[in-house]
Amino acid sequence: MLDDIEKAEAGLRAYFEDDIEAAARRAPPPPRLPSPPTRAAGSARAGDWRSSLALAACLTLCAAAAWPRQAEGALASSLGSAAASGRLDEVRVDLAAAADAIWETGLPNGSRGIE
Amino acid sequence: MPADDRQRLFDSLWKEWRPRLEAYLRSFSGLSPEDREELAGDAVLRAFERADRYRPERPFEPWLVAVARRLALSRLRATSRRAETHSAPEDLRSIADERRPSPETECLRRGEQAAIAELVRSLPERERELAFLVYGRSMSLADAARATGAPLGTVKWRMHRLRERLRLATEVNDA
Repeated sequence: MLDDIEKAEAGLRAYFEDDIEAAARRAPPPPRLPSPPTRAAGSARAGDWRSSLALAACLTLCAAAAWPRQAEGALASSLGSAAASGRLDEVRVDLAAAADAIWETGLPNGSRGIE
Repeated sequence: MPADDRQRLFDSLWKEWRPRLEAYLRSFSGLSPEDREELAGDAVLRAFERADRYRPERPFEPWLVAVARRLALSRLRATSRRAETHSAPEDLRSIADERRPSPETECLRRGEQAAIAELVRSLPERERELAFLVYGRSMSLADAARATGAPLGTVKWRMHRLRERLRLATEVNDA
């Protein structure tokens, strides 16, 4: 029985969570990515820094899935500051190092995100 | 980026986000279960390949949902399936087959699951989509507007109607 709106809303949350969990149980393994074309040193596209930041952001959000909204806020602030600094050419994210750090430590509450 | 690191990044995205996108794509009743599975994977791959189009100062999930949404609408257009109707009964049967409540919430759901499933089934497609984003993903209305490409005012109106339906559902149960 749905006694009140709050209970109905809780029921909807549980319903959709079940859908996600069911999809996760059925999920096939990720496919192997095709090898990207190699570029000569120094010929990286202008968008590479943004791509790297974006992927680091995705990865961080994955690690912080238990607190996605808080993490998004912290990350958006951190990355927004970097983008607004006008030093985009200097903004480099070592994805491998970032990934290792995230795997090892996660992103605790109150984290400042990627620095 | 070394290929191994690239693959590792992609694997993490796949594991974390693909199930959410597949569940989200249930909002499109014209998609078959096979369509949803394929499109959820395609969306993750598309997002990964086009990460340079993501603006880091914006929330990530609405952007990713928008990628999946565009793929879904494209598929529906290609197959000329109409997405404006309610969930089909056979779709509900497949949901029932796939759904296994976790032990923590099973007690709560046992008495309410049928009512909730009926409520979701009765929702118009756009309200069902909004219900998933707001209740299933705790998304703000502003982010839901970004994800669906709808004006914020429209999303607020849909949310108002959705809550009205919830209220009516509780009144029916009280009667």
